[in-house]
Amino acid sequence: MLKRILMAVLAICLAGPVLAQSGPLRLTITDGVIEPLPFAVPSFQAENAEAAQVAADITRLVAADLSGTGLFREIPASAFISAHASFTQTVAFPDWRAINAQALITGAVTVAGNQLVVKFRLYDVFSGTEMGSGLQFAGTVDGWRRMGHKVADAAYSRITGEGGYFDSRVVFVSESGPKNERQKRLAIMDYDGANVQFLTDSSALVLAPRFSPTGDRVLYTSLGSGFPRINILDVASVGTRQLTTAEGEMAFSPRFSQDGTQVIYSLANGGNTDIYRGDIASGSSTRLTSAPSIETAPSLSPDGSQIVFESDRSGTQQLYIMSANGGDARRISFGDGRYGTPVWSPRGDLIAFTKQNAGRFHIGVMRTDGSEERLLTASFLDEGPSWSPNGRVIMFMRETQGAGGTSSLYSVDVSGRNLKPVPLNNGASDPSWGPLQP
Amino acid sequence: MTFFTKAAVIGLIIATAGCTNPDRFGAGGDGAAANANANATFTTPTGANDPHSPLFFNQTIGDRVLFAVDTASLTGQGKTILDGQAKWLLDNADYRVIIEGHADEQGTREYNIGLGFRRATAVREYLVSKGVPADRMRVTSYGKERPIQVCSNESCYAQNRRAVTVISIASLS
Amino acid sequence: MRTPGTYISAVGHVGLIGWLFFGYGFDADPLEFDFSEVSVVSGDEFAAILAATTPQPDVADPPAPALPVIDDTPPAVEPETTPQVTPAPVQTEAPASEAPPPEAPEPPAPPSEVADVAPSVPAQPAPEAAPDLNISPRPQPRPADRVAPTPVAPPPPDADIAEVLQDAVVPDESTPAEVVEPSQEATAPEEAATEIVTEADAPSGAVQTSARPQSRPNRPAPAAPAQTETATASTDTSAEDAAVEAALEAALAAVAPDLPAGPPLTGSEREGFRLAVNDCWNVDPGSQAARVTMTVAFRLDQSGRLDGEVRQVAASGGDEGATSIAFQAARRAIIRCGTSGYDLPAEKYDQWRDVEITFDPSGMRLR
Repeated sequence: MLKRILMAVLAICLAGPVLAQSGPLRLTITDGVIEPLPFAVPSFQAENAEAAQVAADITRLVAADLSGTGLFREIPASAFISAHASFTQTVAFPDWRAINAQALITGAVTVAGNQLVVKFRLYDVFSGTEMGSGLQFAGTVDGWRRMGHKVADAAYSRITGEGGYFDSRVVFVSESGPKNERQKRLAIMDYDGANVQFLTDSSALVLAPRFSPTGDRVLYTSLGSGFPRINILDVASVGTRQLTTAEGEMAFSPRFSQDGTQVIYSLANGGNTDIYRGDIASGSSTRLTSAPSIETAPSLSPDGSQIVFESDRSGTQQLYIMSANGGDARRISFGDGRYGTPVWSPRGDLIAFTKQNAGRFHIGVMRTDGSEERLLTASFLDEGPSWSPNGRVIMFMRETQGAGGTSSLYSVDVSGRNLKPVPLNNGASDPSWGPLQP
Repeated sequence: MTFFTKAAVIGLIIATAGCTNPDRFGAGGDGAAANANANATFTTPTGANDPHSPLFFNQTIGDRVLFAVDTASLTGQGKTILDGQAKWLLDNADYRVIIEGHADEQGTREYNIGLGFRRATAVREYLVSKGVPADRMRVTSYGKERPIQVCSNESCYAQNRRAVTVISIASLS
Repeated sequence: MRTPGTYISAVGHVGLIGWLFFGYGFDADPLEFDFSEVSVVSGDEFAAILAATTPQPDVADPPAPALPVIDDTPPAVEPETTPQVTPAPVQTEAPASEAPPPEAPEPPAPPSEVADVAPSVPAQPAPEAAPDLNISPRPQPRPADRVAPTPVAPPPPDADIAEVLQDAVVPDESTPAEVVEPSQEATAPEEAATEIVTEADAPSGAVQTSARPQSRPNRPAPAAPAQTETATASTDTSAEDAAVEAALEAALAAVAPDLPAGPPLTGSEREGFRLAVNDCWNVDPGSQAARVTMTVAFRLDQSGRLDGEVRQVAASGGDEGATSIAFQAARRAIIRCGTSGYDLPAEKYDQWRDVEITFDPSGMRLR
């Protein structure tokens, strides 16, 4: 009897290994699908009567931000099975699974005077868990859009594992008037085209503004004097001053260094355009290129060690990379056509550019060694890419053909999907996407 | 037509002619078409017929030279115009000029500024070679920002790829 | 041995463990919460700032609320336009050490002298000589919101999008978007293209030719699934002690009653399972997570439903954040497509009770 028990125990012990010997079924999957992830965002709970409108507005904004990425698809409230009216109530996951909501965002809004408090939680519906902990933002009612963007950024970031970009601003050139007498003003807007504010009047022709890394200042080129000059503008006070450059020279195409203390730019003198690096505080400058060709549109790598720029030293515009201190440059663009306006991605792995080929313009990206070139857009005139702070989206300008041609801003996912215009009332060009706001 | 109206018209024409850089970008609706008409129909006692007037420089000699796509090489026709410009500038030593380089819209913004500058410099150097003192001339570039023709084909592009010699400040002495 | 002390100790331990086990969950403490302040300059305030181009420290009402504010976009504080960044020591790098001479006024020369690695290209493409129509007749897939291994035509307008193709079971009175179990609506797979179609790929508006970049490699055909060999579960027929054998049978029966072992899955059965998971594996090729190859393991019950948790077995190619996202995507795929049970042959349960799936997105990455 005892022996049989021992035997049975032994058998049970053996059972595992024997089963394991058959091993699990092993499969490899290489082809998934690429589709927007469905999410649900029931209207945020208004915790008092004053909050009702803002709660509804913020809910819509969060949904619009996420849907606008092309990575998410909102499930309409008409499909909801459970209402989820209260922020504190337990989530009925089966109800959300049934409508294939993969992420669920719940929130609550309180208004006291001009003070606004927004709380939210994010759930992974299919695993039935909360992603991260609840988050609360406090601010003013006027700033409700920023609060909504903050919520959407947090949700985006938790779902994708990457930084968001909704609570960010873009400086650009607002355009009006006919093509041969176009009025241009510097303007600033939220990433989604809301809250447009003008930074300059239209008395001077202004070009290609560039945000500082912290978003506090803007560099731009002004033709107000009849000669291209680089100006620097303080965003908070709207005060402008000219960057000191030598008389008889023309400076343009500026960009900030990563620490915001220096400027890399193009300077034309003696029939030749080269790249310089200048110190903003002192005005001193160093020449970085010395080829008898047009070297312009410099952009620093995120670590500040290298500069990508365009040059026609080969006969046509092509892209080159050199050390941030100048010296030898290596060409990285070898496809058909001409390449210009390179911009280093904030992630550091890609370079966005404008390409002209066979009578059309493209916005494209390539790796920093020039490999894996991909064209994301095609039109009569696309130009001037600028990266979102997380390196995921590219904003650029598109101009339509002909005498009545107008320009507008577009954005496109780095995958080439989700190409769409930024909704603005006026013509617009030369976007420069600023950092995520604190 | 009364005497006063005539006087007013003539006065207006003289005033316009006196402008240092009339219609420099061909702005104002019809672009260069207006320029051409102005040249053909309005003949005034001063202005375009006065060899010492800036208007004569602009319209009779020609204030601009054109370039082929993505180049800054002067054409034979361009050199002929510049020869005339050089002669006028030597004859009228009181004037200074700003040479503006322009490009058509087929190119990126920054590059076109560099290209316009290259064109303006080519003109300046040619004029220097003909004896015009270098310190009377400055160069600048508007890139593709100020086209005179607005259509999107070669007929317009050809006129936008230009360097314009703008009489800037009358009478130094 | 069985002293009162032992009993007390045992009871105490069991009690403690029990409390730790259950008690922790009882007091339903609120989920964690983080707080963050957002201070905003309102449009009016900004307009006020604009109106006074020179900053007026007193006029603009400070947007900062009474609460402590984290960020600082105070319009009134900064009287200077000069950057407040610490004025860096000028010229930290002596120009002497720089490679390019700082002031070499070279005469403008034709820009063709500098030797270059690249084959120099003739200056300009002939401008619109003749609109040679459609040099690229290569049929481009129609861009779709969804990209899947097999192209799917747009669904009929009245069908819901579903993971699996279903026929309409009950003629429904066209209540849209009702996903209720008993009445099944006609569903169709969502429209899908086989690759990301960018504007640059898409057939352009007829007049202009859209030149396809030559450097772009064609997307490789979906790699044949790496058929990792399943250890063929042989019913161990070695001559063993009959008693052990019997006991083993008994034990197995005790662990999992009626456990059909069956022969290995056929190729088509494996493929069917693979495709089923495939359809729910949503990859974002623009993300860092698309660089992670993720292997997960899980157990299925006899109805083909997930039994327990999905576990990460191995991962390579990404940092912690990307790995975590890749795992979530894999887990979501398995859970979502298995909600009604995977269609696997019941008589071969032993063959698919434990599953290990490697999700390898390398073929889907952007290139």
